[in-house]
Amino acid sequence: MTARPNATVALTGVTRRYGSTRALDGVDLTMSTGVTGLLGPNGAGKTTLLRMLATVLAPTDGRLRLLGLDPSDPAERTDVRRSLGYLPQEMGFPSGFSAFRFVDYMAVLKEWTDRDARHDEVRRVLDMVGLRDLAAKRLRTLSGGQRRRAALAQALIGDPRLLVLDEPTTGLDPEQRASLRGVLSAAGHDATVVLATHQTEDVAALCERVIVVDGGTVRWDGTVQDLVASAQGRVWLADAPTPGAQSSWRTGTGRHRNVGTAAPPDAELVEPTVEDAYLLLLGDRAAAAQAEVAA
Amino acid sequence: MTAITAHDTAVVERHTTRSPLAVLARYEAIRFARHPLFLICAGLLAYGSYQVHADMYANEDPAPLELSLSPAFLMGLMGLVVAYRLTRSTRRAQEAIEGVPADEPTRTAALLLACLVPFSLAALAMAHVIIAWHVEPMSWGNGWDYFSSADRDAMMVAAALAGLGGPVLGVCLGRWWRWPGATLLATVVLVAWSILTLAPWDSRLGNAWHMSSPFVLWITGSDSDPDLGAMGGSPVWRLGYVVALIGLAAVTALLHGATGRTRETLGRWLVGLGIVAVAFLVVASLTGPTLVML
Repeated sequence: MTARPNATVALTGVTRRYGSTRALDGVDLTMSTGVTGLLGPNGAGKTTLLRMLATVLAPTDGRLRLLGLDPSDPAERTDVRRSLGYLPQEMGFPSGFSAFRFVDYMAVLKEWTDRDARHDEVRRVLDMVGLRDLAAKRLRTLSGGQRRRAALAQALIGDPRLLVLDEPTTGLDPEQRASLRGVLSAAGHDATVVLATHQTEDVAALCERVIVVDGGTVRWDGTVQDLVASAQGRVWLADAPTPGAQSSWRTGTGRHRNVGTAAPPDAELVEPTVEDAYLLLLGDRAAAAQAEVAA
Repeated sequence: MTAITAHDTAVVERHTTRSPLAVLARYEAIRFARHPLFLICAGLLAYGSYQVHADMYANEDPAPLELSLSPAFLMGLMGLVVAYRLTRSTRRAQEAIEGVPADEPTRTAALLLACLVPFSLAALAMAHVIIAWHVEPMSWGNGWDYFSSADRDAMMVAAALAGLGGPVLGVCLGRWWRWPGATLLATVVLVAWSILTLAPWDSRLGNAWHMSSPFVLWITGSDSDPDLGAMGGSPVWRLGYVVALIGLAAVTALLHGATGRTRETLGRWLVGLGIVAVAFLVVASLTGPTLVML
């Protein structure tokens, strides 16, 4: 793959092994300013990729450059981290901390040493995620969604140039998710935002680019529109599940939405979504997952 | 419900007018000082130091063992528990913390500097005792009269150093021993080690064994006890050994997460401090008397 101009993230032949398992296998990618969505089934390698972008995990093989720097060099890694915001997939909190104190502690770790400026910044990011009124509350008394927003707030400290978010919308209600999209799309004007998610509607609403990872390799890399277009003519409605369809489910209207490589000649074709295209892309694996859920 | 608001992402400059380590150390020191267990122990130490010493002068009682034991226990052993908990308290947010500019050795150094909080209190308590002794000499008994003034002062300084060594060891364990019960095992080992070093062993080797524990008592029994004895070794030279032990614990803690040249440098410090510790222990064993039954 050719490098994009002004690339802030560049992976060349990046492989990450855990014992004999290859979580990532020779991945080539570049990313620049904007919001990029990362899709893939569980165990596809998304979190491994994000942990590398967050400098907490090094590639076993290959070359990784972030913001023009080499994170394998300790000094350059520190420089990358000065411009990095990272929200891990699972995040706990130190006991006894309030939302304000936790974000303040993270700001200290991010070298915000001037107390007044730091407190202003903590208030700003808590305001961004809608937690200002709950700032003094202990984190353990907050709901899961509120804690997730506190975790997100620490990632937003200092308007990072590289924002790495692993399932940021987990636990958020629809209104909060919609609001979060506003925050992230604004961040994407100046920064490289990479988010992994299972919420395909978030990708459709927010991302300019989508990368689908499966089995440690990149299965799709392109615009959201192109991904959706790849499913054109392969999604249809019927009164019953169509034999041979890759995926099929009963919708709220009572009709069945079918996704498959070949629609019947008389099928009532409908506009595909990101999810349809994603299911088609992953093929049998997605069908197996759906069958497993149905069982 | 509070909604997340799209916000003007005005570029905010990072303010680094002060050393990140200093700010982080202050942050950790406040966390240490506010820890409930530390607050209880600090209160007990303050009360005990004042009351025991006041009673000694008022009643002309000989100095009891608690004089050096209480700071070692309250600031040293309990400080170990507090420091361990503070070190481990951020583990749940570890993944996010690993992605910040302050690397693990910096965060460890901040925790180590926070250990000056219990040390200050222990040092204050012991300074109070030493100054009082020199201003107004008291009646000695319970074996204390066997030791020189310098020896007694050194014992009090060692007790103050326990208030630093315990917490530093707590940070070290917090970095390397990440399993439930680690502090319990550590405290049991330390207490058992201190008790076992009181075994009557009248030789230079016995001196070394007696002084090897991070905290030691120098008198066995009391005036009413027929087995009253003064343990062997030099309390003054042993201070060098204790300082080296604290250095070893600090460097070992810093080694966790250290990479490249930092790791190599710390490795050299570890070897150097190990040699210094052994050297001081040998000198303290050879220069002091062996076990004396009083």
